[in-house]
Amino acid sequence: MNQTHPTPEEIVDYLHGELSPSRDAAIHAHIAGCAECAQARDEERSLTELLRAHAKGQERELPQGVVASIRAAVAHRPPSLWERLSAAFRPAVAVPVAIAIAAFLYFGVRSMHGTARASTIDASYFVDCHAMQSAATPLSDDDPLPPALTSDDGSQ
Amino acid sequence: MEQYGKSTYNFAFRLTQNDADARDLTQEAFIRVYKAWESFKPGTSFLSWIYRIVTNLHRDELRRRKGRYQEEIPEDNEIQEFAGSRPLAVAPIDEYVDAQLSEPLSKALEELGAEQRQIVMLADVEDCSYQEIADIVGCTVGTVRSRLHRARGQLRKLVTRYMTSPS
Repeated sequence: MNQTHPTPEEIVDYLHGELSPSRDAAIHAHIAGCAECAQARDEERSLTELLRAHAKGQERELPQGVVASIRAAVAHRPPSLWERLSAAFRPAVAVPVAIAIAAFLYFGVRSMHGTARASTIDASYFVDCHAMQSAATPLSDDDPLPPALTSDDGSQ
Repeated sequence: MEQYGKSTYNFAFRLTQNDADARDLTQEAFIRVYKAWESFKPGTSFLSWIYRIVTNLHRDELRRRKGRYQEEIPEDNEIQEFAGSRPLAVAPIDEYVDAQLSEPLSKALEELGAEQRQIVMLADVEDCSYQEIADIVGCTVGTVRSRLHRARGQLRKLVTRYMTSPS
């Protein structure tokens, strides 16, 4: 028999099955041959049994009012942000919204793209710029008009 | 709710020691379960989860009521030994189940600190492992072990006190 007595804490752990297998076996063997430790174990076990018996004696059924209150509270509580988002993204709503967004993106971007191109490609824009530049600097070396439009003596 | 409602309510009752608070705790715990249902991990213990919710709610409630209710007994504050008291008798279990012990034990449990009472109930009545208790209460296994030992020691002394001097 192991002559080292287990501590009271170890006996509690032993009764709760919280010791390592080797320590559990050692204490089990020790208690089998040690009246003092067997008595300590019985005391601890009795306390546990007392607590269980007391709890069992106090055990109650769940009051029906509690169930009804829970159901009412759950039914009437306002939806959380996540629930609102989930509801918004359910297929019945999400599919038409997705189609509308796709259509807007396709046609909207296309029309914007077309407008931008038209404004940048318009030839009158370049002619206007050229005329403005010529008017601002009439003595510039830069010919305001292409050479094909000038006479041989330089007069326009 | 039908499956776990009774267990949750009884656990709440053991923590609070009164019906009104146990009802409130149970109701609030189940509402939180409904709200946070997506966060429950399948394969884990539902009872441990809801006990954890009840424990947290009870702790919050005690904090709110602090000042109106008796402070918890500090863990390192050993209760006074009474002269002439005898230790809790070592006797067959049947003797302990005697109704005469019920009232001293009820008083002792009421006087025990809320955290210690939680751990005793989880370990000895609900039969939870130390790891499960640590998960429920939100502390380490070492803390569970030390609190349980202190709580059982306190309980033993309190029961002895109320047996020898019932008033």
